[in-house]
Amino acid sequence: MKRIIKFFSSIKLAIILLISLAFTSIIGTVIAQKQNPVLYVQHYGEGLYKLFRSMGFFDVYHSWWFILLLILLSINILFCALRRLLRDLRHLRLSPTRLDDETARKFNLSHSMMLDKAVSECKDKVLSIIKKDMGGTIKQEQGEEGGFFFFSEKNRHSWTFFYLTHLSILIILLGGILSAVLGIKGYMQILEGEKTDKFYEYASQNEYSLGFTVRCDKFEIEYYPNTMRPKDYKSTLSILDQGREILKKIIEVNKPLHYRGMTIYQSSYGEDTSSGNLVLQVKPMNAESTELFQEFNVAAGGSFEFTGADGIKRQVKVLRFLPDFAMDGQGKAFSKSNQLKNPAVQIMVTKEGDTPFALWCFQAYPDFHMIKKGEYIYTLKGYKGRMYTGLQVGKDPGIWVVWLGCILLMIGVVLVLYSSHQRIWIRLTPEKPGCGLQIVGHADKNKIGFENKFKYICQELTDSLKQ
Amino acid sequence: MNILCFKLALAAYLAATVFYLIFLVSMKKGMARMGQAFTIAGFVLHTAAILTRYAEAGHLPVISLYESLSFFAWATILVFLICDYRSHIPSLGSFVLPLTSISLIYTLALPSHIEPLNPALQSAWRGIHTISAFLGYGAFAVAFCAAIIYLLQERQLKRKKPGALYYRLPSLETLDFLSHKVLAFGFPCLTIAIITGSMWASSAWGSYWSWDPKETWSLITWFVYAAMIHTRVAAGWRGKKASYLAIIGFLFVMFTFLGVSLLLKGLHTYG
Repeated sequence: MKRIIKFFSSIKLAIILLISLAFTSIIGTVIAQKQNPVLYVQHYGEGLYKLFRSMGFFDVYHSWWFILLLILLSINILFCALRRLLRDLRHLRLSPTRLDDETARKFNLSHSMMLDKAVSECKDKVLSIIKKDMGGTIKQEQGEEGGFFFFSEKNRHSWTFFYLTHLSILIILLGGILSAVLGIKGYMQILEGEKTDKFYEYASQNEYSLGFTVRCDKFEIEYYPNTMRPKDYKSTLSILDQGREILKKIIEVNKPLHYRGMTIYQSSYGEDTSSGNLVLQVKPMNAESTELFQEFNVAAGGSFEFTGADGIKRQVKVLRFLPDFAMDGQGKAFSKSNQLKNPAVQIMVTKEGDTPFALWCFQAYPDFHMIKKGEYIYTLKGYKGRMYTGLQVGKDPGIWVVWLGCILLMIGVVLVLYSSHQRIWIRLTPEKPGCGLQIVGHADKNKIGFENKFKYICQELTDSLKQ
Repeated sequence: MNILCFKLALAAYLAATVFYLIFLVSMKKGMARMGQAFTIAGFVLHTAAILTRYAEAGHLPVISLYESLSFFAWATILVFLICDYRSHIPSLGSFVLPLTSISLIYTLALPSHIEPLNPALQSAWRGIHTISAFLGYGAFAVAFCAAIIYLLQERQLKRKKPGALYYRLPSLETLDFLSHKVLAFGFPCLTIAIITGSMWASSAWGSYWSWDPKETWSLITWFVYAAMIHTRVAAGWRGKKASYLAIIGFLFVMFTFLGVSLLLKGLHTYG
């Protein structure tokens, strides 16, 4: 039992655990986490995939061994803190204010000198020097047989900072557990003017009820001049609870909304490609005058007809509309996002008495014609649709525990490294002639710094008392 | 304006590097004093460069790699000047100045235009997060230099007849003390940087920790330095062992600072 306690409260274990956590954490930054299994097999092959999966390398930070390391670290901290507490309390009780031989032997910073002045003469000088050089609280005691004792200590409470830092880490870990168990995170997309009371969880894609309704009154986006780089985007949201409008707030990135334990963050935005209208321009090839240009508004999935200059009817049907056109590895077209970054439309043109043909039109590249055989050029002029706001929704009851731990840790780590408990004992004993002075000092941290200070005090004492 | 100030600062740092290196081989005290004077001049110009760029951009200019490297050098010089002021170790300059000069010369090859801020970066947390992170990086860089000097000096002492270098390098105790002081400054900075970063992430993305590579690497570095502090404070590792650890720790810092952005994908696309 004693050996178990000793093992779990050893600093060696702490160092080993910290290093293990450091190295195991690296795995998760080298192997992409929580990806689709298909991608893993593609990348690593079947054998390596199975090996990595069984070792939890695809979700390192939630694997059993990573959690075990964290649990061990928590136990280690707890045991260290308890063992230290027992020791500190004992020291606190036993800490002498009068220098005796036992104390003098215990600490290695010690200095003695013989003075030719009497105790009463030296007393005030000693006091003024420790007042000046040590500060802190000073205790003076008249001893028996004409001796005199000084005791000065600084940062008496610095021993508590150890507990502040180490327990704050336990608080953070506890908060993390609360977040993982009680928290939920999901997303929702609301079209401008619409409302919803549901959201989807990220991991499971399950639908959850918010418990109230969110309406998106307005969505605005602002770009940096002459670019498509968003500068700012914001949504005006209204919260409706049991049919009543409770509050209205504009949210943007970094400025979320809180209501009934839920936090709603602005996270993305996009175009509703199903309900909007495309503007397509139709012009005869080699047309010089713009009079022959025609513009049509057409819904995605809709169609229109026009009669050409040759008197033949043509039907144009919208096959696909992609707001952010790109090609995948196999040359298939897809949309990288729901944002109008590279709008493209695929249309099918049916000329009466001719075979229909399909072609792509790009808004950003109006001169790019895929098909020359049509005598008309089709250009995508724009898309006018509603936008939706992408919101992240979450509840995290652990967060306040985490923040509490973080604040304590920030304060603690500064104090624990900078504040050291410094003590100085001085004993004046009458000798013939004059008196003897012994000074002993101790600091629990920053020992080298304190040693310099101790030497300086000794020097000061020698200078002022020996002259 | 800011580019001009920056180039003048770099020129001053290069001059300081030369003086400090001459000091290391010639042992002339005057050289170290010149090095110090040029470092201070460079630092003033560098500060002016950052402030004018701040005014021009309207935000703390630590976004692009160019700006990040420049700010890293600035923070390192700041920590060095504080150390030099408090414990006067001119030979530290012979290592810190070349290191910062190299990182600044590298910035000359990078685009220096001011980049606009994307919405996630527009946060009040950015100031304290960036400054504490870079002060931490600077402190770890100085600790790295002190560790290298320690190892050099230790080798000098092991010889039967110490070489000329021995007389120009500070004593082992001074170096060990300095390393500890600098680490005791860097570690809280790193802690504050990680925590403010997570508070920022919480307000921007609704998640205080998402194991993004930069986050994870900063935590890895934190683990490494936490282990290091425990080896020193509790297990009594000093001197040579501590110096090797300080060097290893700095490699982790450099990977967190530059490696993650250049080699891994994540939320921090900048340095």
